[in-house]
Amino acid sequence: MPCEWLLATRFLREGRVQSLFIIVGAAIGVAVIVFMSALLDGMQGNLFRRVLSSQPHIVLERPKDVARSLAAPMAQSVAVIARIQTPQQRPDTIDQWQKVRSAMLARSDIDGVAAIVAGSALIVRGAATQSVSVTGIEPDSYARIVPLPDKLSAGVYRLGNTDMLVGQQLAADMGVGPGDRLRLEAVGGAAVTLKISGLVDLGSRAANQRAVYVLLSTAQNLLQRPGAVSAIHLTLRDPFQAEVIAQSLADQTRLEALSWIATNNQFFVGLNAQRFTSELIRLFVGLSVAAGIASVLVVSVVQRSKDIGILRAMGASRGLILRVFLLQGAIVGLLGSLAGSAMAAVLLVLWRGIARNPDGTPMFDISISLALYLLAALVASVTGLLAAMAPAIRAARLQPVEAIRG
Amino acid sequence: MDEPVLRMDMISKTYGAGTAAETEVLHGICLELQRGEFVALMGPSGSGKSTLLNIVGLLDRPSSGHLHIDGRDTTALAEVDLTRLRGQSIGFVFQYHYLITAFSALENVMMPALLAHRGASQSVKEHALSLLDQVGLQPLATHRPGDMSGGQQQRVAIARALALDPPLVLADEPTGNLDSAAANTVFELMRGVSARRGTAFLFVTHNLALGQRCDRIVELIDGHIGARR
Repeated sequence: MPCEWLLATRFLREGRVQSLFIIVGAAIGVAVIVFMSALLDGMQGNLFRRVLSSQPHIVLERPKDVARSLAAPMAQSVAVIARIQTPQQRPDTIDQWQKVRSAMLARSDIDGVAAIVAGSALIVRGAATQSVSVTGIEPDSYARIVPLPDKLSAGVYRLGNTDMLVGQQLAADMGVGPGDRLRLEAVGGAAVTLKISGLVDLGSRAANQRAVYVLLSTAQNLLQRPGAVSAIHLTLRDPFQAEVIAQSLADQTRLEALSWIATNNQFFVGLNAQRFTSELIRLFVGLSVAAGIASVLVVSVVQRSKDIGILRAMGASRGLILRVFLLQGAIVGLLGSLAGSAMAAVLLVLWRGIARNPDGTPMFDISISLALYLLAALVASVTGLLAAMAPAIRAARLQPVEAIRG
Repeated sequence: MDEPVLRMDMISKTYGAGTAAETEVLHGICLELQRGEFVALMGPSGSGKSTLLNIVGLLDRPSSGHLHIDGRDTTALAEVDLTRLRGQSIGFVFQYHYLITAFSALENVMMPALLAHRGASQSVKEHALSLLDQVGLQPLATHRPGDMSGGQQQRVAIARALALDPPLVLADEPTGNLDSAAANTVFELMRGVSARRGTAFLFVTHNLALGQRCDRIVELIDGHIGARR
C-alpha cells in the first residue's frame, strides 16, 4: 500500500493545477450539499417545532354517535330501510376521564397528559361583543402540551379561579390588557367576570382572536358541564410515532384518538415534497462532482501513460496501477469534502447573520452537526473512488509497450 | 557452463494474424546471452529490433517459439508471473530515459524495490544511494529529472535498471539521444557495471563505433539474425 499511496499523492501533486481545480469542483459540490442539508434540516426542525409546540400530538375524544340500522341484512328478499339519519350529537364528554388519564400517565411512550373542556362563549365589554372559544385547562399539565408560558406576550402565566389568559389580538380588539376585567357569557346563559392575567401569542391571528384560557373548574361551571372534560390532550416522546400510538390508544380506551399526523396531512405532504426535491438536487450535484473527478482522471491517465508503462516495465502489476488511480479519486473526493465542509460552515455562519426576523432574532436555528460532515466526507470519498473506476481500469489495461511509445 | 541468462529458441512474431495486413516481423530468431555478456543489437529501422526487445523484456509475447529468462521458460507463464519475473530479472533503459518526472532521482532508483516490496525503506534507500554513487550522481539524488541533463537522466535510468540486481538489462538506444561525450560516458558506465556485477546487457544502437566496443554484435535484418562478428 505505501507504494500506491506514494504514487497517487505524487501524481496528484505534480498535476497541481488540475488537482486543485477538481478539488475545488468537488468542494463546491460538497458545500452545496452540506449547506442545503443543514438549511433544510434546520428549516424542517423549526417547522416541526412550531407545529408541534402549538398543538397536542394526540387528542382523545368521545367517539361520535353513529346511527346503525337495527336490522342486519338477512335475506336478499327482505327490504331494509336504507336511509339512515345522522343523530344529533351530545356534548363531547369523556366517561370516567380520570381513569383514562391515569392509564395515559402510566404509559412510557406518553410525555404529557392534559384534560380540557372546550366550548364557545361571548365576550362582552360595553357595546362590543366577540365570540370566543373557551378552553378550560389545568395550568401545569397543559403547559406540557402547549408551552403557553413561552408564548406569553404580556402579563404572567397564572390561572386562579378568577383569572383568564386571552389571545393578544382579542385583547387588542377589545382594547384591554393584563389586569383588566372581561365578562364571559356562555351560550347556556351562565356568565362570569374574570381578570386578564396574561396575553398569549399562538402564532396565528385567527387563533389569537378567539383564544381564551381559563381554569378547568371555571370552564366547567361556565359551560354548565360540572366535572366533565371534552378531550384529553397528549404529547409523545416521539411525535413521529403518533399514528401508531393513536391506533393502540384507540384500542385501549375505546375513544377516538386523532394524531397530529392525520390532522396535518397537508403539512406532511408539503414536507415530503420538499425533502424529495432536495434529495434530487443532492443526487445531481453528486453526479456532476463524480463526472468532474472522472473526466480529470481520464485526462490524467492519458498524460501519465508513459509513467504507467515504465512502472509496468519495472514490475508494477495491473492491480497496483488500478489502485493508484482509485486512490487518487478517493483522495480528491476526501480533500474536496473537507474544503467543501469548511465552505459550508462559513456559508452557514453568514446565513445566520443575514436570515433574521425583524426583531433581530435568528429566523431559525441551523444545526451544524459533525455527523453531517463525516457523512459528506465518506460519501465524497466513495464517490471519488467510484468515479475513478473507469479511468483506473483504463490505466491498468494499458499495454506497457504502447504506453511507453505513447 | 552456466545456464544462459537469455535463450531465444525459434522466436517468431506475427502482427495482425489472420487479417489481410498479416506481417511476420520476426522469423525464427535464435539467440543466447551468457551471464555478464555485453551484446550490441544493430540493424536498420524496421528490422524488428524493438519487437525483439519487447519480447525479451516480457512486454510482448512471441507468436511462436520459446523464451527462457534466467533459465526459466516463460511461454506458459501467466500475466502476473510475467510481471514479477520482469520486475526481478530484467532491467530496462529506454532511449528517452523515461524517468518518472514526479519523483526525485533517488526515488526513481528506489521505485523497483518499492514495487517489489523488498526490504525496509532505509535499506532500500541506502542501496539506491550506492547505485547513484556508482553512476556518479549521488550529489544529484534529490533533483527531479527535469533539472538534469539527458546524460544524467540516462545514468539515473541505468542505476534504476540495476536496482534489483537483475541478471539482464535491456537498453533500447540509450545513447541515441545524447551527444558523443555523454554517449561515451553512459556506454563506459554500462560496460563497467556489466564487468563488475556480471550483468548481461542487450544494447540496441545505431552507432557502429560503440557496437564495435561490445563483446559481439548481433545484426537484425528484416526479422532475421544476420552476420555475427
